[in-house]
Amino acid sequence: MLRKWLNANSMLRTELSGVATDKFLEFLLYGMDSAFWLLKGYKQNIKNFSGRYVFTTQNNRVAASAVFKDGDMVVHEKALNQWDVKVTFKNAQALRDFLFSGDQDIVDSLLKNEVEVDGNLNYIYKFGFMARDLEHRLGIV
Amino acid sequence: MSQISAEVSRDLSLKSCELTEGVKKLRKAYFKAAPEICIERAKFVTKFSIENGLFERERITILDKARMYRKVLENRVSVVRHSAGYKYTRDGLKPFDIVDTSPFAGSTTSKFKGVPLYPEFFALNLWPELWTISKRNSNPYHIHSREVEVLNLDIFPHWMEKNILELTRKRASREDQKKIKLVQHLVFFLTSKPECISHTIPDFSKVLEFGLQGIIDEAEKNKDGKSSSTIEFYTAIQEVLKGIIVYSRNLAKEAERLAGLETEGNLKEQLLAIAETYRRVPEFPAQNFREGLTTIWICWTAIHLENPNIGLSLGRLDQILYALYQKDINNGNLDIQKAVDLLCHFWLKIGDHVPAIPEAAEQLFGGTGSNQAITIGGVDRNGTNAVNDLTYIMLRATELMKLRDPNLNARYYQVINSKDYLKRLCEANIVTGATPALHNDKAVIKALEAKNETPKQARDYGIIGCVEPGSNGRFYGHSAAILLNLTSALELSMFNGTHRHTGERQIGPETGDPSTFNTFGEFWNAFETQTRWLIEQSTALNNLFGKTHQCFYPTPILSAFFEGPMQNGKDLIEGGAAINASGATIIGLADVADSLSAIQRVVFREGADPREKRVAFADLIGALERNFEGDTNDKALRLRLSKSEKTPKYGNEDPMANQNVCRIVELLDEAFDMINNYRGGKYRVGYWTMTSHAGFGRLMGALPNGRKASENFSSGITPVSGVTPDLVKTLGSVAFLPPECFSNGVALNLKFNPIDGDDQKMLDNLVAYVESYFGDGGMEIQFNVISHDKFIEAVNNPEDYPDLLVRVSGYTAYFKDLTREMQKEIIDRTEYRLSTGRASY
Amino acid sequence: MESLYPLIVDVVRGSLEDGPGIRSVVFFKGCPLNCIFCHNPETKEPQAEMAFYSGRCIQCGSCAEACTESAIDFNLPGRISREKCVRCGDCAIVCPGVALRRIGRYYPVSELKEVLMKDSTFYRHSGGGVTLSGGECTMYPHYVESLLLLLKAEGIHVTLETGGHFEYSVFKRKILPHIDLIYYDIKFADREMHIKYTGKSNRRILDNFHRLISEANLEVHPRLPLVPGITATKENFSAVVDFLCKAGADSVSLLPYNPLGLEMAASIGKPVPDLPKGFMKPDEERKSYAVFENILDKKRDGRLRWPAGKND
Repeated sequence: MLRKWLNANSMLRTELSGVATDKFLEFLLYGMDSAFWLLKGYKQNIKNFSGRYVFTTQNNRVAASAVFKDGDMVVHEKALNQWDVKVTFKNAQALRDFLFSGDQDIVDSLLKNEVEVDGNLNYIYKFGFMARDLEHRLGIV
Repeated sequence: MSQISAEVSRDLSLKSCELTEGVKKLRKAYFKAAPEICIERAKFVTKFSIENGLFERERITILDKARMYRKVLENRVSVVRHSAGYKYTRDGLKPFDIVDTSPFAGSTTSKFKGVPLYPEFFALNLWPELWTISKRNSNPYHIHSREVEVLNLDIFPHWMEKNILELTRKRASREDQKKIKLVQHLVFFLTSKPECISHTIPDFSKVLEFGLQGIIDEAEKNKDGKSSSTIEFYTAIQEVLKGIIVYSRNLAKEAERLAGLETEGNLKEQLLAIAETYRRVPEFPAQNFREGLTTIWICWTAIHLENPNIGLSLGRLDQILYALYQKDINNGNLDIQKAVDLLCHFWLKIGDHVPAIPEAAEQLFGGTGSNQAITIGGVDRNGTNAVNDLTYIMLRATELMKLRDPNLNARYYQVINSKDYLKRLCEANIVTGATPALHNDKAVIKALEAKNETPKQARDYGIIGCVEPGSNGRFYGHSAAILLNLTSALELSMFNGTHRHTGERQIGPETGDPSTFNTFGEFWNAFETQTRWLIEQSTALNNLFGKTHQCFYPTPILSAFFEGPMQNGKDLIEGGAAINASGATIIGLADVADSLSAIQRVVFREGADPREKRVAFADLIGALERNFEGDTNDKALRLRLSKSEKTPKYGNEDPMANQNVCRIVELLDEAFDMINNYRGGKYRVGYWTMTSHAGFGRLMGALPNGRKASENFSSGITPVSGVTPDLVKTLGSVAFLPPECFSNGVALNLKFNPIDGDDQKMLDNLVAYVESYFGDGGMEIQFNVISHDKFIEAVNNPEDYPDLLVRVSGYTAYFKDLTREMQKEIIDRTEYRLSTGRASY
Repeated sequence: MESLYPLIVDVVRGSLEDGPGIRSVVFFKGCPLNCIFCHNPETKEPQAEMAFYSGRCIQCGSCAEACTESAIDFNLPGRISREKCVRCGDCAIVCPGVALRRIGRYYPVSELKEVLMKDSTFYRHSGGGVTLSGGECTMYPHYVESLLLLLKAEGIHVTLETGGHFEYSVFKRKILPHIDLIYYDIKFADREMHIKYTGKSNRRILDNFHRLISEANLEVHPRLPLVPGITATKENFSAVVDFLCKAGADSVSLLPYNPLGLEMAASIGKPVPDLPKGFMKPDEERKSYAVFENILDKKRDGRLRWPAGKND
């Protein structure tokens, strides 16, 4: 989903390809976080929005959380206990596939049974939009 | 008293009636146009909900809803003439001009071909796609960037906690959460209530006869002496109907304004005629055929304001409009060509919207329209011949327009309806290649009577959505409530309650390791247990969603056009309809039946030749897990399991296979029929799969009938492709099944290769097949009459075949809109030659 | 006893090509003629035969395992050692891909009738019925009579396809009263040619045709199968037309050449005749028709019509 964006941000990409699998999710979320500060208008997406996301793999080896509140985004490098939505990937590869698979979305990953979602699916849709919106604002799509 | 005029009986095909220039142009524009997302409805509904605090409510009353819809109806844009659409180009979707001369004003959405959004249901799943949806590969929708902004910031955020799925999930117990989880695994069943109920036929006869004002007056009268909640119901009905009247008047005003601006005499006159019509109807009784159609059209748009555009169906239009038609013909205000022209315009209007399908769901429901079924022919409530002039006029309009929506369905009652009528139906199929679907009245009526409908109710059935029968204007049956993948029940019974798609976790009950079973009976018991378990899960979940609907989604508009609610002062969603039910459809019947027969024959050796080797169950499972791709033994086993000479197959008139299919359909009918729904009705079961036999097929592993992993299942009630070259055996096997078990309809798909040059022979043969299949008790049949070569050409050059119409299973679709898998499935179906009566492969 | 209990090669259902409407066609096994161009060579011998279809074989070896006579030989292109084979069919039972088939099975008359009655609705609605074909069903007059009596009791329309080489008096007594239509194949008018290509004289065939046309109270429809260079010659056309005119036939049709018999001959281990391997091309077929029509035009006695139904 963010592949093109990552291509455009070669610095971040270099960073990411160098990091261990269990770290790259955090990097990704930090990337989004910084975009809220850097891109004019993008912040509109989280104005008045509060939501708690947990991304993890079945073995809990990779885990990260994003908390949106009061127009701000905070990234945690662990799985929080409370969330609106929790996305569990079969393994780190499935998570990578999901995040980097071009046009695919969560339903396609569900089709392949590579991901399981607990909680409110609408938060995933919103997250999906924010990711695409970022690409859109960077002029990639 | 014959209802066929001398003029129509001279040539039932009505070949002299052609498309007029006006409708030809509109039709061309229609095929050129891409769908456009319309946010009008979503915007109004969200705004009203914010302003009136509906988002904070624990329950939304019918009056809240009614006031909301009235407000929308009074304020929505009045589209009298469409002037522009968006077309496909190499550089994406670009605007183009439309010359709209339709006698029907008003529209379901504000766009020429609109995608209405219902954020109360599933619209939010389009959220991630909003920036890319106009560029996606399959079926792109146009959307303005300012509309993306509005959806993202002002509409969708409000519904994150408040759509039907989320409202249900939040209120669900732990046990019920598990059932929702089952849906998310996608391989077991889907429940469609988070998306819609719709799937019904409203009653238009009353509004035609009395006008909306008549119904408003009736509601007032009915309030007398009733409890406050009942009075509130009637007030709600009045609110929405008043809203519809205002919408119609607004259209009249707008038409008048446009007429004032128009300099060309003809166009001015047309606009003034619209203004005059829309000032009268639907407020007052329809006085002529055109007013009748206008009444239905305006009410239809209003019904779609409340009910998502999936499977809402128009019913027996040739019956309810006949009196108006006849009156016009008698007093010389109408001729047959004019009637055909009006219906062609009406058909286009009916198709002015498409449902919102997110990209990933294309795999399950690719190419679907709104599946608005129209039903013609058959017998009337008293069992007498109901085929009339309009039946043939509607057939002609369908043949000329070749649209996916509306989906025309023809009823045929042997002997009572004439053979010439059946001939004409078959001829229309040859001309259009795919429509109408044919329904055997005797079998359908039997099926409905088995569900305790009175003969009069049963005889007055119309078709809903794909192929589901429901008594016209009185049956609230959500016929597509559950899509059950029966191959998962087989899977769970083969793997002791686990499923290859979901890995090691226990899903269904533990029914034992089949390698320890001594008889096929034990295996059948396991299968039955898993099947019943899936039925319990899916129906319980459907009921749970139904209760959410009752709290948050009362339906005043639909209730106003229905037999029952007006009499008993009760909303449809509360069980107000004269007949209540919920419907399930089964995916994978033939594959499951053949797999069971295979297990019975090769593992448990029932009816096997003593010289043939037994296959241990564990070895069968091993081959399945290798997808039959191990050594020669795997290959040999797959051949043995696939060949009808070796293993019993449904469709080949094999007694063991027939018995297994019968047992399955009887089990399903009995198990569903035992369960009560949330409105006091029962569950009905049918066999039509749309395109989901390809979608579900993709997710499932190899099966004991020799089907390899990810391959398509057989569609609807159709036997597996290639089990027999003899068409008569296929028809005989399907007709053999008991119609009493099919109260929610079946789809038998057959593909015919037309004969070049001998139309008469082709027609005679087709008629003979249908007559015989119906005579033996077959319930429904639908065709593709297209040559293999043409399909291949259409795959390679889709732009040359924008209107190539095909039957998937149930509905019709444009071939170019289907996924590759689904195109392949249709091409791979057994093709029968109408010259020899045999399969060609 | 052999002649009382025929083997049936196949019952093909839902045919639109063997008479009016939708029909079931019974292929009897056994034929008095031995036409080298026979397109159903598996119907020639009255005994059961084994067929091997090499294209379907996956070399799994089940057949060899099952065979008690060691008659399966993977070095033979035809797989079956015909000298050793006792035609028991054990190999066919275990063959997963139906690459081996035992051709011919007995049907008690009542069972055959039951199979044929399954499609009675189709017959009724299409004006179809049952067609007895072969092989030569007239070889089994007792069996056929019993079957016909059962079918007639149900009011089924019966068509008979015959090569005409039967004993007329028996045919007249046992079969003729119960059938509705005859397709009568006439391959050659010339006796020597007939002997050369079918192994038998055509005297009986021509006599029988004559008698049927003059005596029988039903439609007898002659057909001439086209075999390039053999039956489809100007001379033969001319002679056959002469004969038909003299016999008083009022219609005739030409059956297009069908090369599928060649493959079948190979499958059942019979010598494959040296005949064209493909169907006639449309222009070849047209040419034959043109020649035939030309002859017909010249010799027309005012009755013989063509095409009466080209059976293509």
